[in-house]
Amino acid sequence: MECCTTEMDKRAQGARRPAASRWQTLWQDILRGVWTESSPFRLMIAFCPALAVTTAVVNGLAMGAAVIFVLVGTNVMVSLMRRQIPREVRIPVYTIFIATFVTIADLVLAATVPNVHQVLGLFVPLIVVNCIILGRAEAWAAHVPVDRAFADGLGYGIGYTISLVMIGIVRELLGNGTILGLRLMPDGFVTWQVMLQPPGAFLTMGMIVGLFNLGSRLARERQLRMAARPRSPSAPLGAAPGASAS
Amino acid sequence: MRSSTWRMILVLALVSTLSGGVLAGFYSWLNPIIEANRTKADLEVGFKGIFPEAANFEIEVPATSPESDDAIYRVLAADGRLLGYAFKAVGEGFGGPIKMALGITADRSALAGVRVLQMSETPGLGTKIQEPVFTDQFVMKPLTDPYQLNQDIDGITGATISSRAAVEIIRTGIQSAMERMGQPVQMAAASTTEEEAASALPDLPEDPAEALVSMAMAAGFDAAMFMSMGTTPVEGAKTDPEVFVGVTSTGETGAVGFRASADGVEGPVEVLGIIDPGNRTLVSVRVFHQQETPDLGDKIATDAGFQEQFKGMSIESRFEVGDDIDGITGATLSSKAVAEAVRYGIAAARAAGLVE
Repeated sequence: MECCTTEMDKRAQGARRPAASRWQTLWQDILRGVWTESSPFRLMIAFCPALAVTTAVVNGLAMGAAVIFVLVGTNVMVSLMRRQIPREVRIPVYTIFIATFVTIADLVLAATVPNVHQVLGLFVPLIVVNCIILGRAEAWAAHVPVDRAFADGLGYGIGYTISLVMIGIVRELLGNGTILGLRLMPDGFVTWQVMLQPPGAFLTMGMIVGLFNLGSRLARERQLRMAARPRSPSAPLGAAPGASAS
Repeated sequence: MRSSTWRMILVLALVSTLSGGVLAGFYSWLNPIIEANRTKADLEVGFKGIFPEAANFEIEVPATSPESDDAIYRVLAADGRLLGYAFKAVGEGFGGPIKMALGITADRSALAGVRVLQMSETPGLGTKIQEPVFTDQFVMKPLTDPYQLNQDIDGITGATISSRAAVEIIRTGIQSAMERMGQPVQMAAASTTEEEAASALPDLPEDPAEALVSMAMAAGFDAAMFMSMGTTPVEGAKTDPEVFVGVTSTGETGAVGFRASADGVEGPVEVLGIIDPGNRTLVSVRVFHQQETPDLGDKIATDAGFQEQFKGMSIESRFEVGDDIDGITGATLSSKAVAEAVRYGIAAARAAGLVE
């Protein structure tokens, strides 16, 4: 699972930022999962449930809630026991943690919201093999104290939930004319049934990834433009003399 | 740091035991709730949904085995009156098993109704089998009907497998339950073609006036000839509808005809209609020309039931698809085009002074 340890993780873990308070570090940890490394649009993993359950927004929300619970729980447990777990058996141990939390989530869903649980069906138990959870346990929780592990799990879980809701909104609105069951499209709207099926899921995913990439590119270009701007009239930064600031 | 084998075994054993204990605790706490939810749903949504007055249930035929959930219950009202019989039936659907509740009337001659209890079908498509548009077909349905999809049962467009599965479950459920109650039921044989339903509509002649005569004869209305009175502009209609006066075989004026069109999905939908000016009702409506989607929108022209429902409707009706008119499933816009064209035709006939 070393593939799931990103460069950002290594840098973030080792970073010493004496100016930043503990809370600021934790906040950064949360934000990383929600935006910079969110899945499945940036860190392109965990597609399967994202495509399968997002035929309705409420399914995405329930799935996301379960993932947050499992992620946070597993990260905390792994972090708590990080010095006790022998390296050779770490994967089985992580998996037992994950499976336990997933089973608890499954039971709670079945007891509290049986309708939603029925629709999610097999995909709740499948959270066990969701890449994000084992990935974060291996790449992060095993190397950081409990509070940072908690923050990381929260961030990634929230990021995943937001992504599921985004896909769900597109698919439910176009495929059924509703969002969360409320009819939003005008009466004459003919539903795009393809949206409720796998091709529609892939199309939606592709579009959103494209939008994210576009957003990143524009942000980067803006940053470059800002950096090329001279700081003061008498000291142009790296620009040739006479070149106008753009 | 290389760990000793003992340490590995110890940690794994500890973690597993802990996990097992925690899960056992959660399970024993939550499982009763889950089971209660399930039986409550079966009862409330299923049996009471079919028999709203149900107050007590007694076992008529016990379950075939302790694990199977197929006991047949006598459904009793609060005063002890027998309302009917209820039982559950399971089968394979598209995305997983489908569990349904079936109800049989007290005299054992018809289905009281059906409800879906559990399913994993595609949301928005297969899940429509639980909606009244599908389940209402089974209310008071004689047990001797064929119970075949596309014959006496309409499936959900775009959810053929789910619909077929549901019909299978209902049919085999009825057969097995009636046999266990000692009254095996014989359902009508399935017919081999679907064309029987569609062949009821005769083709219309090319000429509108002759087509109207053919429609009048089919409806049993006396009209030897229809004379065109020209077109009359109607507010909202892109093409002015044409109105006709029907002449009976004795030379008197009788019915009023119209030819009107409205925009469908793929082009204009042209409709012929005959009005009875005395009763101010529609005698007949036929779709004359259309270019709608084959096998979907064009059912407005091939479906006899859709066109026949206009018969006898008052000309004052708003002809709203969904309220006054049943549209073709999956062809809402085409159906609405027909309704709109009928409205224009009637408006033209009234504007021309042929009908009050």
